[in-house]
Amino acid sequence: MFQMIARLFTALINSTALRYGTFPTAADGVAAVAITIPAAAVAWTFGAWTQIVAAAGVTVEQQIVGFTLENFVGALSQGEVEIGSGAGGAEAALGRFQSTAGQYLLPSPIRVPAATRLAARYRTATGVADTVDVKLIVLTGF
Amino acid sequence: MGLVQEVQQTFLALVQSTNVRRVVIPAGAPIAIVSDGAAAANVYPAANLHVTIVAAGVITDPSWFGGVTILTNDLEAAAFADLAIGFGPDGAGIDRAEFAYYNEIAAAAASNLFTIEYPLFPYIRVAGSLRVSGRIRKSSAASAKGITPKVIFYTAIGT
Repeated sequence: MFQMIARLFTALINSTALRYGTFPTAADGVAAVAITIPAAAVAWTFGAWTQIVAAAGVTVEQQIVGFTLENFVGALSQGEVEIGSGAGGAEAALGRFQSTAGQYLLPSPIRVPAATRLAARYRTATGVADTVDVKLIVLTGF
Repeated sequence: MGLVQEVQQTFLALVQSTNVRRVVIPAGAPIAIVSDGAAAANVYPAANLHVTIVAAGVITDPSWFGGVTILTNDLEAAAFADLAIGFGPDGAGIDRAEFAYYNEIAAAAASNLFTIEYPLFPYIRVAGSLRVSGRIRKSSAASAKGITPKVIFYTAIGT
């Protein structure tokens, strides 16, 4: 209990070490391109999971605190993006969000251990193949 | 300070304090941050990395960095982008936060101007009255059109 309260206090009030970042990201001089995620050409059917960041890219424990996504090309429609973790072919959903465009901050962050591969998949109401571009917003240093 | 006092301060700061204040900087007109013509798409400017939003000595010491507001622009092409907010002089370790945003093409002049607010929690404590600055990278070609962010701070947390 003592450690929990101490950690909470440090995380919430006293820490100068917290950092907000994005996935995918890149070092200076290297392109950090948003990930384009496909929807299946069948209404409300997810496309394939698409990797956002490899396990090796998650070098420390993270909290997923939000995401930004935008459907640059498709027709206006309802859609859902699902963020997940796990090895390719064995992803498990961490959260599902009904949106095709916007910036979102989660009221409850999702903790992700170091060396966890992160991925996402997408579906829409249209029944037409479509894509959405995604970046995650993450917190470290807590 | 003992843990009991720290917990008490936390309670006061988050629930009962009448001292906490929210400010945005710069106090006047926001500073435009544009992409660097020398940089490739999705790459931060290579030199003179950050545009100063306010110089050192302006923000209260300590302050708590609580997010940003971003006014989008009428870009020549739709773009996905990142805004990084840094504290202190340019160099390694300056960035404290990076925000992903997107900017669609305007259907008509000025129709694409809208404000995005990223209210962060937890806040990041900023010790020292440091320079505050920013830089962007975006997926479209570099141009003179970027964003005009303001940075949100809270003061008197813990009192």
